[in-house]
Amino acid sequence: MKDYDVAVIGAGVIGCFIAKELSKYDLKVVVLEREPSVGMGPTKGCSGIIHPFQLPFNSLKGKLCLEGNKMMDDEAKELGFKFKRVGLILIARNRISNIIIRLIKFYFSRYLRVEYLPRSKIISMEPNVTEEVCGGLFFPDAGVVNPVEMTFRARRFAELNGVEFRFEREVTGIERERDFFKITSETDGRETITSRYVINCAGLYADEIAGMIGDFSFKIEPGKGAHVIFDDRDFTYHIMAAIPLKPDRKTKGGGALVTIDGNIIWGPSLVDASDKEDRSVNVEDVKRLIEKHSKVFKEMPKKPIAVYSGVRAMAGKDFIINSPVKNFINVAGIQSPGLTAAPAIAKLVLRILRNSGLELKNKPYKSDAKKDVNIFKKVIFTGEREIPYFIEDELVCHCNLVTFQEINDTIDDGASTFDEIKHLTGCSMGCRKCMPDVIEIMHKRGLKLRKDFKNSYIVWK
Amino acid sequence: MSDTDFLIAGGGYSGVLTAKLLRDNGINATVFDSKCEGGELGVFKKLPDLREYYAEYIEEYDELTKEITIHKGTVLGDVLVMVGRVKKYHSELLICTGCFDNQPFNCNILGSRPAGIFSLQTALKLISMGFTIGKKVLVVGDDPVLEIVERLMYRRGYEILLMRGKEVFVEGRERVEKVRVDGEYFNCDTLIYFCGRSEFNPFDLNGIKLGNINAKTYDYRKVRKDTVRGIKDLII
Repeated sequence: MKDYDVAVIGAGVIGCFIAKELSKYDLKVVVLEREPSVGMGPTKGCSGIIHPFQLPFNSLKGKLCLEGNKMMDDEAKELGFKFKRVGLILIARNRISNIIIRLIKFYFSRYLRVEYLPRSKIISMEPNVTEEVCGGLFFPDAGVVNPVEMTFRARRFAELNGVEFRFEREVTGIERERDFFKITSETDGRETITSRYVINCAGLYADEIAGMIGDFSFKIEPGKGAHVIFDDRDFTYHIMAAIPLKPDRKTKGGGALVTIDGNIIWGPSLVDASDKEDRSVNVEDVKRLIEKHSKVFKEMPKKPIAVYSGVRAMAGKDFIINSPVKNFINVAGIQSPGLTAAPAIAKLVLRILRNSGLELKNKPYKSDAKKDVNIFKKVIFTGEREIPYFIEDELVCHCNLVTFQEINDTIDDGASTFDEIKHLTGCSMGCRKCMPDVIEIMHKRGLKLRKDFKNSYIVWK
Repeated sequence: MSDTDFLIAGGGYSGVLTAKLLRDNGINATVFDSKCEGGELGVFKKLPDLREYYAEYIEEYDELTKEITIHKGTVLGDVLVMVGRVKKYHSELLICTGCFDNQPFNCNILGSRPAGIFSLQTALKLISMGFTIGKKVLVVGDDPVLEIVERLMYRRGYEILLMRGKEVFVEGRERVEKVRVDGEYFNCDTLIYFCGRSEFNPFDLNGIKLGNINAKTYDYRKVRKDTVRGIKDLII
């Protein structure tokens, strides 16, 4: 039986950011995760947007969103993930909404940076915008990240600073004993650990974890969101959305988004899902997305390449961050804008821990610097044509210029599944011709040949 | 390298055939390939039924590579990256980079995206590398090569079913569990799809395109025809 100060249940973006924050103090911390890698639940399925705001401003999620947005530059630098403030343009397509947005601007400017953009300015910023555009609001603080990278880098930081990550450990029971908790987890055999504090960031299953200590105060409702990805790098440069006049639950939120690599994503929608594991996309989802977002533009982006769904872990309208039992903290119902709020949530959880008596003693901590850009990317992206040194490197993925070295480095850093390697390096995301080569590398490195989940074997040898 | 008139990107069938046809006309050409694995024919060669089906082209390729050397290197725009160095080139570029199989979304495959969904191209490559890709396989598509693939996989012990269909919907969380093809359900753990191919030119290279990058097919008669015709046009 192992003893810890803090046990974090769930290695999504929230669990990893809490672990990262805890790793800066002299504590024994463990993260228990059901799947073999981080961020494979709601994190992977989200759109990667760092929101400039969330309504209502006085809600918990509204406050944590503003706070998290401000922290993001420092987090990106400290952990080494890509983050770009691309900005959000909200578009008014008729005169009435053009008047409304000026009122919105007046109200919003108390909380964050926002500018009014006249029609001509929007057209110069986004040449593909619809002719109907009358004006718009610009939020310069909106940004984009790769959510899997952001989560993975937080894990890496936490691990470097002593946090133990235990994968494929599905928590099946929590018992309270005097001043600590006994946590039982199962996968191949049962294991019990003890911890003084427990943090429940189990995403879609946070209600089940809370139930184990007798807290039945909330229920997680899965909210499915579909996305369409286009490989059309110069279609738009900002996150764009039309001002919604009549809220329609089925297509609530979402926009025409850009990814950190410059691809275009349209989505997400919001569809009630009866099943927490239902990540399917159907014809109607795609039609609805295209119908909604194409109104913002003159034409459609070229080359739609994929569709995907993520499942939001929703519990009512707001986040649930509370302590139903002494030394047990729920961080549940982290729906949009959870990714943005993650660093602020981690800070809040630390405050709660400190207030409930956990001693946070500073310790020196380290962070690992980012590796150099590979030679192929240097040639294509930076125009550097003469490289003075010899390379031993070879391309695996031509579409996104990923080398053997990068894939091997990612595996060295702890990536263990195909989707993790894919999302972190960008390999096999274009034409996917290189997928067998990536599998071969995984095989040579002795990894199990799995896509994302525990039993998601792709091939066998 | 500086005395070459043409630089050929891609050392598969059409790249090598291009070099040979140019040489027959007294024109110098140098072939570069990122991987040097014999292109797609290199995969077919390792799979008995396909080896037989493509025998004519595989033999031709093997003959051609006796006289034509394939250099290892990747052409990126006006720069050539070889293992060891980077060089600017000033020759005319011929693009023989072939094609790739269209992806699930472009093939009307929706639903969830668990493990066990393969394009024909990746399925064949994985099998040629010695991997087992599943047990109960549904192949959806319409192309003569699929019948050869069906026989090949059947002989390797796969339970296999070949279907034509327009709308495909996949169910399963970790691995494919069920596939719906035009309203009809199939229980299987693996889906192989084929619905045409697209040109493989990830760096948007500028130059003359020859072979399978134009033909976009598993029918190598067409690949050969396109290459020969392209060279003819080029020499005139």
